[in-house]
Amino acid sequence: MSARSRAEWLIAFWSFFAAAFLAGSLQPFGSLLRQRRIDDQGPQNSSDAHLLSELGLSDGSRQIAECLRDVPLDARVALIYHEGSLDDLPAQIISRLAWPRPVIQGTSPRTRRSDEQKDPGVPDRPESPAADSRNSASCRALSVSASSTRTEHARRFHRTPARHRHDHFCRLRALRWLGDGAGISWLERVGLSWLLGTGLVSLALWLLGMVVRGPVLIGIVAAGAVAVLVTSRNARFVPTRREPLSLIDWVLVGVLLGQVIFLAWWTPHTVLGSDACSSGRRKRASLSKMAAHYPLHILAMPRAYGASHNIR
Amino acid sequence: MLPGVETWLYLCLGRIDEAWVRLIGPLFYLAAIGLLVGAACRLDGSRTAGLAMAAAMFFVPCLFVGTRGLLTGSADFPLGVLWLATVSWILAPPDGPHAERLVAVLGALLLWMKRDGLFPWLALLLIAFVWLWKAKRLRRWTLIAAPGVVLGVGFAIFLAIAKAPGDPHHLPATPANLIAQSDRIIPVAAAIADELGEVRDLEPSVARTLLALGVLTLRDRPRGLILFTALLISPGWLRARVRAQPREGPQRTSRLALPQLLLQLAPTALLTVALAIPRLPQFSLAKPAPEPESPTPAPCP
Repeated sequence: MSARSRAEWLIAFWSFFAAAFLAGSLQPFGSLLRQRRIDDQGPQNSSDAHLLSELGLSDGSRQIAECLRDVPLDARVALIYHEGSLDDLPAQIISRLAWPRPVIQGTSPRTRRSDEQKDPGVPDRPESPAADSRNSASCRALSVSASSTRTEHARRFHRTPARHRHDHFCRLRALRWLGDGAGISWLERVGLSWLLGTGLVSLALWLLGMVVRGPVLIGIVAAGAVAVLVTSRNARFVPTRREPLSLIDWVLVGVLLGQVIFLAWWTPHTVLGSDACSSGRRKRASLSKMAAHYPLHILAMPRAYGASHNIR
Repeated sequence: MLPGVETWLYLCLGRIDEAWVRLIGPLFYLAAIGLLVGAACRLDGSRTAGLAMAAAMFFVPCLFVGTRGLLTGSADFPLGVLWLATVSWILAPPDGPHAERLVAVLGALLLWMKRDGLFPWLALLLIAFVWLWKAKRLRRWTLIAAPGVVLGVGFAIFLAIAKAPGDPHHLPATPANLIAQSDRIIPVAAAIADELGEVRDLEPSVARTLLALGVLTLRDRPRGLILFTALLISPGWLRARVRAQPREGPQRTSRLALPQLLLQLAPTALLTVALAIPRLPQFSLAKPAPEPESPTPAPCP
């Protein structure tokens, strides 16, 4: 077979392959518009969306904040759930919203009774949270009821301008120690910089968070990131040979740009999942134990609190 | 890693703002595009194939749909991007300590990204062993393994000291648990097989990857075998073994497993396809070019 006919066969084969792949892959996009979406651009919009869908609680974060407005910051808050388990996403979100107050979590007597019927090995507990001397007067019981709050409409939050110091420190070029960059295109360099930069920042936060906290921690991590950036500037990157883009390349670049535009449009409407909204991960909880200013530190989680400080 | 990045964002902002956290996923997506195109160029593939596969990444099932997708803040796709970067550097010939350092650092970050990163990291150690054994530099294997071991053991000690709660969904992967739960392996495997048959979204990706693996193995056997190990054998087998120990029954766990696994392996599978597609000059219909004896390095953007 000549080179020309082989090229024709290859083109036909890969074209058919690409068309079949696209046809098969487009199917899931039909459900894209049926996904859960956020109602506003407030700072807790994903949490609000989860609270609304799971509990029927409109504008949940604001309502919970109003409930806790008069509760002193050093007072303990008891969260009592009538339904579900303490591992559920709404339970974890409400725990986070109560920060920085210490949180004690438990289930209602009704739920407890049903649990105990399932597990006869669990010892008897008093009915009222107030009966426990450990949960004294400083402990407020907050019972979130879906039915009492469904009628309230959601208020539109407007995002305030944010300081995004983060951007400066994530575009790191931490490649000097890793090599002189020979043969690495700038596209790959950017990708590696993002991966290594996020790794550097998160590791530094974990390690330094054991000894320093608050603004000092932020300053040291930021200074370290800037130091890496400055030293990487001196790295000897060997320029790669450039060749003008062909017509097909330009078409593909246009497709990629269209995808990026779609992402920029679609991203603000999506709802974050349980990993980002809750504390389901012990890594997050442990990290935040060290970084005291991290609002999620109370997410040492319902499981932890439920096991050791359950309401009796 | 993602909780750390979110922590950093919240620390800098001084408050919780989920809109900023939502940006992390798309940034990993952009990084994946750069890594895919750059790696295709660096590994003597075609820039056009790299761009085409970067565009095809948009159509990977479960990337935008479902509860573990790119925009949900889940760590599965970022883990896949890290695995792509790691594999792309294993595929390069071992030409010095720089590539090994980069592989070691990226491998350690696999463990740092997510607990599931343990499985690709073990696959990495297996591939690196063969990689360095053939290059007669086996001593450097310990250097590749060291960062991951230090990070993994250090974080495990930290979790023990911090008395962090355990995984609520899976039993620890201890020999005793493996033996005790061995009777559940068959029901779990059957449930996964059933799900594989039900989820039509997975079929195009699986078929595409298998085809590309076959083509690549015919053209370049070492790379094909490395990618075969990276994509199918080690992560899949190790994951299936641990997934066979759910606390809450096989059905729930298997339901969660396949889309996650797909997102973790999809970027590397796309690189496989990009490397399997021949270079553009061979497609030239107007002017059939003679076959080059040794391929020249690919021009990079």
